[in-house]
Amino acid sequence: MNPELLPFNYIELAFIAVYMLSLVAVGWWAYRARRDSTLKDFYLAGNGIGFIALLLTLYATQYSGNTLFGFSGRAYHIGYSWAMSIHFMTAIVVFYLAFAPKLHAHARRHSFITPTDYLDYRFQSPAINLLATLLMVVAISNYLLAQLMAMGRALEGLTDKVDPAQAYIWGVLSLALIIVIYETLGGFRAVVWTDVMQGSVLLVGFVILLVMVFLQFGSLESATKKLWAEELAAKHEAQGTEAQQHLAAESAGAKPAYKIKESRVGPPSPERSREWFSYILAVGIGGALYPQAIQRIYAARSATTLRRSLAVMAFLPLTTTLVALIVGIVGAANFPGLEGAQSDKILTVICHQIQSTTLGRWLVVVLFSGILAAIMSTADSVLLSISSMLSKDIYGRFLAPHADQRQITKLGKRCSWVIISIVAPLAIYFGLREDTSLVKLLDRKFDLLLQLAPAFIIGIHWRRMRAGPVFAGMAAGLIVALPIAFLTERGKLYGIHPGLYGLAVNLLISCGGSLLPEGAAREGAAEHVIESKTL
Amino acid sequence: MHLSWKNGAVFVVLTLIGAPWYWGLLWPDDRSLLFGMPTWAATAILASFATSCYTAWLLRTPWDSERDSSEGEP
Repeated sequence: MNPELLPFNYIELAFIAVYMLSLVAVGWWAYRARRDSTLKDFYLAGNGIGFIALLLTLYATQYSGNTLFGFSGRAYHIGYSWAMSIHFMTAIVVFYLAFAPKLHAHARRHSFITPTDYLDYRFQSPAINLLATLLMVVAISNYLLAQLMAMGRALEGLTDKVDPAQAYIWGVLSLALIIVIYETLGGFRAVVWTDVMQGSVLLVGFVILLVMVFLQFGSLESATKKLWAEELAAKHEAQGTEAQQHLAAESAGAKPAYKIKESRVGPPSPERSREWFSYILAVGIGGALYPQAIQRIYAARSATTLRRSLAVMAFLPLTTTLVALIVGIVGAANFPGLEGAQSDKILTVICHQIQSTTLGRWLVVVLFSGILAAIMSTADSVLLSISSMLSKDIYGRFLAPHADQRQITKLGKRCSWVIISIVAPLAIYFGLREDTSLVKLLDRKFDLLLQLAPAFIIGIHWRRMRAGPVFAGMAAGLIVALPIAFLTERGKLYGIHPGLYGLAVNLLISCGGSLLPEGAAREGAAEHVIESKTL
Repeated sequence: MHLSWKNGAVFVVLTLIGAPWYWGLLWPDDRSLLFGMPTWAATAILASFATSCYTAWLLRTPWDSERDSSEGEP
């Protein structure tokens, strides 16, 4: 039987189906719990959310299906160097420290709904509002596309009775439909309530996964020693080959061209170390600036709630990304030979082995529910965030400034259906062609989001920062980052994310421009306005 | 509040320790294990844990907005 399939029986599939339908029921309850038709009620659940709900929605939103499939696959591929994932997920919380306390205070005082509301309040620049909104919509639209494709991928291997392509199509369509139904019914309240369910299932899923992996495949130490022994044997063989090649090359007057593969257990190479630092900055800053995460900062019921949630969030990489790392390492030791995109299926291969017992089968069902939860909870948050930005920031701010809140909310719900109607067919198209080139091209979300950092992280503290330089810096950052991203072979230059080069230029222009003397007079007036708003 | 040179320096030091760029230079032939993984990887994860602890420790202090909102409370 194909080890990349997880053939569930009808009872197990029914369990998954009931779990999915329960999400729609939660959406209905959230709809019944609505208080009014205001934007604040639909997009931020009215007066905000408490500690447990905030913690689990932040968790379910930050950790996507990619954490399980992609991270375990990456650990399989590069080995222990993927411990960098624990660092960069922790770095997101560290960077929140730099701006979340002030942002939350302003959001509560001035009733912000979208990230652009803060930018409008701080800089009063339509140009910044438009550029930043478009930048955020583009950045997370691709994220939504990736999540829908992950939904199809997750379902296509569930049965051997249906053609995988058909299962993929039905997977994308059915799960996208479930998400858009509960999201348009209950808005942010529905998304948070389902996130509470999904976050809990996800946490349980990770614990189950860790226990199952150790029970089935033995300790981490045995996996590490096995990998080390294999690498030493490969190295000796390579040295033998190299010596032969060297002799042959010497006699032919040429250089031998043998290259030893990067170690999965040895310390990182200099290039991998640069990548490590780059990831910490790019994901740490970019992840903290996810629009859906910023809206959760706004939605916290109080500063105390937010502070306590972030304190717990700081430890969650150790329960999540560390587990994915261990799964990848154990997988590499026990199932060698998966290359390229195949390595992303290591989790499925491991689950296939665990399914051999009845208990194992049901544990895999719960784990699989956790995987679906991870994908759906990220997709619903992103969808709601995009619809809020399109309806409030583009339509309400530029196209129909006099539209009332009821109209904008209604339009936001329609936006969600339109977005899903566009993105779901794209997910099917690219998924069936197994063509990820466009996805890779579009997968520059951190490179884009990084360009918001001066406006959010510095602008919230530094009163002299002005709109003109911030806009110019943001535009220049994009102009620098995107060509590097698209023209370099692996999307990075010397192991550094293109967005960081853009951010360096962005910082130079936005901060340097704000310090220019000719801006000082106008700045004085701007400071007066800002001070009057008690920034 | 959380933005200070001291806090920034602590995070930078933890990051420099956590990303083991130095391990291959100092101990190129090291094959020791800690907690079932190579010692350099365990060091990286422990540094990450220390970062989490320090972040949580900073977050135990109430923010200015919490103090402001509790001024009128009994």
